[in-house]
Amino acid sequence: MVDPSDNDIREVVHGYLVSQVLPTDDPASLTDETALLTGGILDSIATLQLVVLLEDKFDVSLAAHEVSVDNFDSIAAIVRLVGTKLGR
Amino acid sequence: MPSPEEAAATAGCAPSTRAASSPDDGSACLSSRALVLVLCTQLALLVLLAHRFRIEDAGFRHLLLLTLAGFLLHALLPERLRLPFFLLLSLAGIAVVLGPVNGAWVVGIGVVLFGICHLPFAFSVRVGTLVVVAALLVAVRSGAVDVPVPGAIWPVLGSMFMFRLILYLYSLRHGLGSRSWTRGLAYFFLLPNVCFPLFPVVDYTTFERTYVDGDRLRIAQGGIRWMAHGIVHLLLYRFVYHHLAVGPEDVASGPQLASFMLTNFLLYLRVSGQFHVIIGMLQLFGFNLPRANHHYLLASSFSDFWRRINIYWKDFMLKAVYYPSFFRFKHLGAASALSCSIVIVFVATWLLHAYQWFWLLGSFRLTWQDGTYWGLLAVLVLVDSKFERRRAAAPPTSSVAGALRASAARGLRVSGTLATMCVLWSLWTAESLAQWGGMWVRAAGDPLGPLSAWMAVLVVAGVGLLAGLTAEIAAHKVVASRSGGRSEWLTCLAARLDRHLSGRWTGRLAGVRRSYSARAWWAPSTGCSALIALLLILSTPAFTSPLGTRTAQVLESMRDSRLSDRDQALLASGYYERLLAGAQANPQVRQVVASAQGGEMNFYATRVGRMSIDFVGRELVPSSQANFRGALVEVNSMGMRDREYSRKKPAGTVRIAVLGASVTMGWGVGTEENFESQLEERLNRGSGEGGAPSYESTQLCGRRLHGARAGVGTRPPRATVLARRDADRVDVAKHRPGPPVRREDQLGSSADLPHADQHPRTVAALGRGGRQRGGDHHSPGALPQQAHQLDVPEDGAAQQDKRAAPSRRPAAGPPRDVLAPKDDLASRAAARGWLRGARSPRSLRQPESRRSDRHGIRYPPLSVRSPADCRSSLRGVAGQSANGVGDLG
Repeated sequence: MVDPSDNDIREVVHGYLVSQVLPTDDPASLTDETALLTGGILDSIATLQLVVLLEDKFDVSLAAHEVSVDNFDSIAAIVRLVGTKLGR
Repeated sequence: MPSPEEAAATAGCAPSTRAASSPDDGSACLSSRALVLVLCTQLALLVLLAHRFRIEDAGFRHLLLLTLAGFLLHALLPERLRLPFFLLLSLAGIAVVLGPVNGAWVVGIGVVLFGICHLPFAFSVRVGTLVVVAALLVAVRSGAVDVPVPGAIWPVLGSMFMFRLILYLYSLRHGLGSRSWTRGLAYFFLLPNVCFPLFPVVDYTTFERTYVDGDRLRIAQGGIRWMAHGIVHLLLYRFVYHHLAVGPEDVASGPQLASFMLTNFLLYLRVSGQFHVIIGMLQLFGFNLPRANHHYLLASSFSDFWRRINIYWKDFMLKAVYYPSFFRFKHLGAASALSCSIVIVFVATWLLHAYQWFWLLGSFRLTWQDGTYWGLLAVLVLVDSKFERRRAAAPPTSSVAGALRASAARGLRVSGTLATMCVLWSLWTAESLAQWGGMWVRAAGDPLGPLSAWMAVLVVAGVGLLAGLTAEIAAHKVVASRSGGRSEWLTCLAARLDRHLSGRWTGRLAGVRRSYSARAWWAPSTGCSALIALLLILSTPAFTSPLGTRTAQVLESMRDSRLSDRDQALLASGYYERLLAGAQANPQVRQVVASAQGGEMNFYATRVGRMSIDFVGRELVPSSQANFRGALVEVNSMGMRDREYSRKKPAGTVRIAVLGASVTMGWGVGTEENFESQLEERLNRGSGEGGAPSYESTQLCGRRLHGARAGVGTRPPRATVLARRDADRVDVAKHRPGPPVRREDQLGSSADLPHADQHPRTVAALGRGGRQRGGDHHSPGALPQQAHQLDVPEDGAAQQDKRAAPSRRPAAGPPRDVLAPKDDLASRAAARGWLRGARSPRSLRQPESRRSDRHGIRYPPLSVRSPADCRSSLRGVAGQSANGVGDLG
């Protein structure tokens, strides 16, 4: 994917969460600010699968210490992280 | 960052109000001062409750009082001073609980460690320096290096730094968190830590991120609620211990096996209760940390259990081990990397538990039980993680029948998880594989066999779940039919149930819960107050006596931490229980781990012992009781570890005073097991027959040693038995009233003792004992001597022991007027064979083959023979004492 926009990143993350983590939930209930880690939505395995997905989709490289509440607790935070990795 | 609603959900607080920026914004009806007053009142009631139920120990209750005063002052301070005040309060708490000297050691070493983290050198140099210092501390802790560091500091110091230092360095390495010294020191010297060496591994970034992340008073209110919940856990723990727990030796059938498995697992309530109290206390001061244990009994899978049981440990493992391992093995593929990471996490958990054991108890504990438990749990989590994703991806169902099936499936998973964890936990806490297997073999003799154990556990778990699942299904239906709005309390209930069962605020109730705003401040506050009030009522005998004798007895048993023998046996069998007993059972000085081998505890730091400034140096606290080394120590109103005696000697009774130190007191044995009680019991066999007198032997320890005239009776006892710890002998001397020997007099040469002429034998004996007490009176090295003093060999062994005795005496030689060996009561008593059966403290609950001290010296078993022999021996001894100082009759 070439220079994805924030919306692209958001759609990928949202799609992953809805399809893999919250298949029984109303997609509309998952907002950009929904707490993913502190709210118990993303567990450790799902988090790492999301990491692998982000690295594959956006050709970025994440480090272990970047998998934190600051960077993964909401869709907005993930979008910011990936955007930073992409040099924005 | 989490949304305010989610952060609120994590803390269990009302979302809309916690987002307020000032205390006054959090409530529409109460001013912040009124709210502080309400909170202070609730906290004061909690403190009262802790005192009523004797929650934990005296040190903790003192800390609670300090917390109450600190909370009030903290609320009145301007914002910029609150964190420094919290730090000062934490340091004061360390001084209060540990004492100024021990506290200074802890703070001093801690500040050095913290300072090294901030040295102006490269990170690797700082880490290297810390490793060197840590190695030095390990050497001191293990006893390899002899440095006079107080043993009491290790559990607390270790608890503060063993894991948090790793996380702090992690944050420094990756530039996470601030570099504030105040915040950093507050992170290490957390207020409740001094009372709870088994402490949640708080992450530094979480500590910073959650500090006042909402309305302070809302956070504090949550803290009080968590403290109340923690006390409930601790009381439930006592109930399980006193009334439900089954010893492994009692298991003879399937239901008993099931009962053992379940109650053994429920002992974890103490840990979860303590963690609730800890987090609650921190929330009082603005640290909005997440809950520590989240309904772990409702875990629906092994992965879920791992996530719920100790959230702080899970987060620590994720950060320090799991994620780094995954990134290291990522090139193998995601699935393989995940599997490797999970295995590494559990291996690390095993090793780190041993590491934790070392800092808290002084020995590195790597056992097959630990390895088996963590290994099996790793396999279960690994397998479960494969299925968990599949379950999450299952198609949704909208029908009630579908919801019913899903809920039933979840209920079965919860039951199965709980049953399996109970079995695993029993394996972990078993003394040996033979003991654990023996229970199953005995249960197999039951008509239903082990199957009934599983069934019983499943039934117990299923019954508990039934109500919850029914409510959940009903709530789902209600929400679906009402579109989540009109019946708010039902939707709130549904949201809460979903949160408890699934562990997250998601599902079809995710949107509904947003309406659960708990607008009114009084709602949670009232609930918490009602809980506290109920517990206070239950702690008042006047209210509980009408409930019936049995209920009153149960409640009475929960008002103290006294443990039965069976409870004590259970306590000593589990990892956490051992850890708690060894590292925390000690009141004010917490745990004194005096030796790496034994983990001795300081008797004089319990509530029954205290230091005195006079000659004796130590004494028993009148009308007190405590558990010490597995035995209940009860001190009567005269300061004796004995039953109550009338001051006036009953007619026809010979009253005997037994004087001495820890042996006389009965170090590590029950009140009825010390030699004085056995002596009295044996002497009184057959008393009253043919005009034979009754005997009362009263135990005089510490201060009562030389103040006996004020202790028992209007007349002095007819005989006084001095049990000395520094020689292999027991002396008999006549009690003679006189001014007490002062400590400063005793410190000099025994030849200079002012009262040597008055009652030479007593003074001489005291002088020798006093000098010994100046050393390591309760160090492990002293115990074998004390034990040997009473462990009189049988028959010919007595003479051998007698010959060996002088070599163990002080090189300086005996003081003036020390009784000659011919007056050695113990030796002569041994020769006559009457003083047997007094239990050696070291031999407590040990088979004979293991009755040896730390130097490997074995002691033979003892027993008391006939009372007639006893009486005649005592008469003979008293009559033959030099100068005829004792007579009976």
